[in-house]
Amino acid sequence: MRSSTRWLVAIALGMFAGIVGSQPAAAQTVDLTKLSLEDLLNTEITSASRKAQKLSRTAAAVYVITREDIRRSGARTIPDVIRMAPGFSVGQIDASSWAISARGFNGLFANKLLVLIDGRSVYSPMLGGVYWDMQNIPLRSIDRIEVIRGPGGTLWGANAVNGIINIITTSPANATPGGAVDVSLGNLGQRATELRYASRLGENGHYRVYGKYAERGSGRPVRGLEDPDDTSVSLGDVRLNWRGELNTIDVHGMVQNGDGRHVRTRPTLSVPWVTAEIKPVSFTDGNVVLSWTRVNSSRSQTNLQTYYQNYRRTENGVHHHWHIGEIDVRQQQAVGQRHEFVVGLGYRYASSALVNSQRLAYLPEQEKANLFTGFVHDEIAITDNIHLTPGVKLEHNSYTGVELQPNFRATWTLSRQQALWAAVTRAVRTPARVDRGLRVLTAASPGFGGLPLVISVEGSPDFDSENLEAIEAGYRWQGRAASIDLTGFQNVYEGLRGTRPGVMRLGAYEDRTVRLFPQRFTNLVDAKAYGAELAATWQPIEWWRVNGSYAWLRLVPKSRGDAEIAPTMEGPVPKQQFHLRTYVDLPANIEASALLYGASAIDALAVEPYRRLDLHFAWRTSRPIELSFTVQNLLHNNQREFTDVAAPVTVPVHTSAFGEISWRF
Amino acid sequence: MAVLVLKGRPARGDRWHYLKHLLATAMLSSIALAGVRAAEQPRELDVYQVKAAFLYNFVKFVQWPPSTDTSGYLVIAVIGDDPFGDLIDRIVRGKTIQGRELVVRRLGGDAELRSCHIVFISPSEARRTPEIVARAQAAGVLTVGETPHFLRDGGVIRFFVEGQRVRFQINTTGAEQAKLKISSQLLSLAEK
Repeated sequence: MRSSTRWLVAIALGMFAGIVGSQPAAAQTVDLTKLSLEDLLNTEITSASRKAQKLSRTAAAVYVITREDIRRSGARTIPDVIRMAPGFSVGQIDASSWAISARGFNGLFANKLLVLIDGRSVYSPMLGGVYWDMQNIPLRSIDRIEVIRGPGGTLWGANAVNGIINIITTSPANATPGGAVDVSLGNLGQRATELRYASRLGENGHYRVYGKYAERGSGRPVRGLEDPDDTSVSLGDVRLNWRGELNTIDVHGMVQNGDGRHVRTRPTLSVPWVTAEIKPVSFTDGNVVLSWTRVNSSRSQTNLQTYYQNYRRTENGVHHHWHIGEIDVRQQQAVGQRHEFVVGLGYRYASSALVNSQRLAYLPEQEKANLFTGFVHDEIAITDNIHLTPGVKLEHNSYTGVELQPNFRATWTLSRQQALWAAVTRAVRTPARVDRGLRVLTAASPGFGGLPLVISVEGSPDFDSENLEAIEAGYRWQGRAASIDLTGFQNVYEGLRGTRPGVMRLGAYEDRTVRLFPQRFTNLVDAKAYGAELAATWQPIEWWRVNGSYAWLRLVPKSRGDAEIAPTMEGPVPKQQFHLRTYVDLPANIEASALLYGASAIDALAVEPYRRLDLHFAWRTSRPIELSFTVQNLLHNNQREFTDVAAPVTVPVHTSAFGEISWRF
Repeated sequence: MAVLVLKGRPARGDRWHYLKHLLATAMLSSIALAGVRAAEQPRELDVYQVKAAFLYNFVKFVQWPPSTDTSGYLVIAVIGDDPFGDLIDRIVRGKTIQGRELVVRRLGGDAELRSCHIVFISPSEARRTPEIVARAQAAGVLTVGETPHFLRDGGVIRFFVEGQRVRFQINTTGAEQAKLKISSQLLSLAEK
């Protein structure tokens, strides 16, 4: 039997043995009627807010990763948590870089996925995409992650083209009061210490504080380069919350500092014409989010949110300094018995100052950009079972002017257990600084006339937005012990980024005159994608749960005229992916979980198919000590998950084990 | 399952590889064996399990006016999208309080409330809450909800979550208007 098959059989047998060996389900259930009012008031709950009732009506492919999922996965980073989301492709490039996307177009800077943390966008207007190495909020502070596959431009704005990841941290009012220290240690040099404390502040206020220091790396040399991806981060995080009868005020601030290393390549002007080297990366980041919610009545609610971020980042020899500020007002208003409006207005300011290098530059060095947004969206209850939601977002940005992002969504609740939904949406990806001002020398060759030929990939000042028109439909069924969520979609993209050869010119590189051959970004690539995703849960008995998902995707790019389709266009994501995870509550307060992931090959990147198994065990008691042990990448030693044009040398993923001890006080 | 088995790759013969398999097999078998005896006490409960248990408990601490059905079943009703699933059903199945059997009903927003004792108004009905509450008051029914504005809308008991625990508030004026008598023990446990 092939080893993969053997694994699946072993897991299936394990689960089967689990059921057969168990006592009748009824015997396992705790009799809740035996609990007194006082007992109930003292019972801890697993999830502070389950929005299931609202979620079941959402006309979009939504999935929620709960606090429990995060804890029981044993994951140490947000990208590893996102692996649990159906249809998401997560490829590790090195210990602090990942390519993450849904429904195609993955890359180190996957520019069609919008990521928010407590309402603050962490999508970079510099490169388009997310600096995953800067997303270090402690996993224990996360309440849930709402993941949406498909476009959400009408509600979330530009760049929510293929998906949205909405990370929501626990409100201090819902955090467990008291303090804790967590220390973890792993065999690949992973080391982390975390301190947290939550308490009351006066009569209606609460706060929580986090401090964290973490180190990680792959611990193995790559191409003779030692410690290719070591990274360390220190972080402080404070959230305050004041809850009056009708008003809630919330402040969330964070500062962090990180230092790391990546392997990057650089062209050279003699044999072998390209070299791989260690490039340091460092960042300092501070941001604060202030939000104010007022419940005017059960039919009306107002929310004001504003944030400011200031960060410096040095990467690949370029120094960036950004200031970003945003203010948003949102009003939810029920009108009559059938309409529920959400109306919003927003403004965002971003200023950047760069110090470029000779090989890599973004022009101009200094830039200021303004973004104005407004949206209206109305959920109409046609009958008790049919809800229609038309909506539109209007934006004005400094690059492309006005962008319109309408959608039309419908949900039909067939019964208490079943619902059908469908949506037609338009979404745009607006240009990032890289699209307009990039200049990067990527490759060199002997050339002619005694002058080396150097390829220069360049942005173009007239690069326009990329558009998506999407049709989606889905079906949900929620039974007593199981649920199924099925989605199908067709995406039609227009004006995607490709490159077109420009006119050769003379330039300088490494103190020599060279002939530069520019490859300019253009909007001359279109694409069609279709796919299907299935997610299911099953809880046969109180103490045993199984979650699974499967996704299938097909993407066909087509060039208009002579534009060249970059390999990044043809996916690059696996055509098929699956995920299976199971949680078992063992006796003696031990929790066990097994998480299996599988992906087919990514031909464009020569990435082989892989399966990955993570195991996690935790001993949780009412005593102040908790222990956990995790093994990651069990079937997956020394393998590549992804390669990006900007990071062609991947640091392979290795099997690793680590333990954590946590002490509450 | 055939779809899920993607192209295999040759097994490596090194020692670590075998150790890994051994370790994994041991862990998986322990998961399986664990099934033989499951956890005795849940360490944490789902928020709606706790709320469902509260609903059951409320029945013991409330006296309904004579106008409410005082002979047959004790009825707990859920109006709107039911966040409980079958949790309330599981709790009350086969239970009696003062010799009366408990039953669960699920109702639309404009259903008749006269035969009910407790109605849980789902957040999905937030915009109709004042109107539902008014009808429940007239029928002498205990209203329970969890929207921020629930007590202002005239509801009697509102659940909220604080410090990972479920808490509740009681609107005594609302209770009086519905002619409900709430025991002092329940009142003393409510958050002010």
